[in-house]
Amino acid sequence: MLRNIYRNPGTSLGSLLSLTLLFLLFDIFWISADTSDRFYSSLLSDLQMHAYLSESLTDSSAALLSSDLTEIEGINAIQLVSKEMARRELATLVGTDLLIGYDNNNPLPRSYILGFEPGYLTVSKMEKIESEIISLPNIDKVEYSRQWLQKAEFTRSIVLKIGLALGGLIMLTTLITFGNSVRLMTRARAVGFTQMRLLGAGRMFLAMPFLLEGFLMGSVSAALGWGTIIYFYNRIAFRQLEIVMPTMEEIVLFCLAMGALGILSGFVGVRKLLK
Amino acid sequence: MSSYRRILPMDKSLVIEINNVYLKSDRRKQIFKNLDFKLTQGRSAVVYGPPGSGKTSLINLLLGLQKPSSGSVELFGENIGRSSKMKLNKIRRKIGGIGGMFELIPSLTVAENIAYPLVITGERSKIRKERLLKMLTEFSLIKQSAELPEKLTRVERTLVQFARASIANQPLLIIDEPSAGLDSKTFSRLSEFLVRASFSGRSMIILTSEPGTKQIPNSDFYQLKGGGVV
Repeated sequence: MLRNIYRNPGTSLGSLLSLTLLFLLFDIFWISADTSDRFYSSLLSDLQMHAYLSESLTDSSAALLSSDLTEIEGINAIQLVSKEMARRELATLVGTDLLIGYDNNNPLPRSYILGFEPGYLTVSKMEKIESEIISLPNIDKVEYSRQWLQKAEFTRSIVLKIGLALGGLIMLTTLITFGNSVRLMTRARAVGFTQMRLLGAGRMFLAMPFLLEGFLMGSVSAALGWGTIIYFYNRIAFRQLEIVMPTMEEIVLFCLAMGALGILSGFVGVRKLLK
Repeated sequence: MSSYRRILPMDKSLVIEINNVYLKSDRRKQIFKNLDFKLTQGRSAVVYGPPGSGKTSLINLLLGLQKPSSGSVELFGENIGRSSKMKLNKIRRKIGGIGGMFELIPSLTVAENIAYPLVITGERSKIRKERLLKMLTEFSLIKQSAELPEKLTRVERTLVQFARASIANQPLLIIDEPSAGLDSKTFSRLSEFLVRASFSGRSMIILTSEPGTKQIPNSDFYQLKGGGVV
């Protein structure tokens, strides 16, 4: 195997560089996807639902309602906003001039502000929670940033689909690129392989160097890609944005997986040799 | 003659047994008809045949590259036509080949070509190196050891083939046109090698189109004629 690389440095270097660039592209997308996912998660964590109480509800009944709300699956925080608190909040937003005449008559309803566990911040689960809340007595209205949540979820799903498509495309390109270069090498050495078979060399004996070379190409290219990113990451200060990098274990696993992909492409390249 | 070291025991087992083989070419031309041939361990055969008489086809049969239309070809007791690929590989490792069909591997150096039979059998590195050095010395190929076959002369390539066919003490040698392209001095030297190989207990089948090819000890003379061996 090393003899193959030593005697064909141009081909080996070409394969290595092209695979490294492909993996670099994938790695950048992986980081972007993780970072945007973390960003969305942090935004979503601030998502709250307002459950507005009917005017006729007494304070004691409101307390009972609070325990009913707490029992709903997914809700992990509950805070009562009294009419006075609502008025003060509104005054902060619009100023007190607009509220002249409403000193003795506060039309703003009481409400509960609800917080949620991270796993429940999806459109479908929020709609389910909303329907449960609205079915409770003395709840007039439920409000939350439904449209924003829908857009966030849609964007997340698009990023995931693009990531999967890009990842699949890159894997396929790797498979074809390296497989083709192995196929060309075996074709160039067809006479040699025929002679080796006549001397008693088995098919796996002949194919093994290519499979090992595939593993080496895949894993080293992946490692070089990550090495490049880590090198620049440590040198560029990202103040405005928190970049999410995979863990070292994930990187090592990725490199090994790409090594396995290299073995597969080597196998694709020598398939004819194995017949 | 007692100075020749016997490598293999002299038993009477058959190395080659061809029974009632019929073989047609791709163009339906009858190459062999009722071909019978036997070669015992330790014996050699010089098979004479003019061009087109089927020498290459006989080699193809022995190497398992062609299957007979009927009949059987057995090497070392194994039916080649019915063997699995793994068994066939094992049989081929017992054969040393010299001649046009057994060209050198172009991407390997002289040393790598010679040592290849030991690489396939998984011989230890130390023994491989020892035997390689011995072969390079015996066939005067030390200077050419790092060269690729394309840089060698015809004579040198033949010497490498001889070295490769000897390094693993393969019990059967198939030699296709041994004198082709060789000067008399080289051929004489290689003939000595064939004699030594014969006395060491190795079996040889020498295929030639030159009727004047010298016989070697422990050998029988055959002729390919009318689709058979006489």
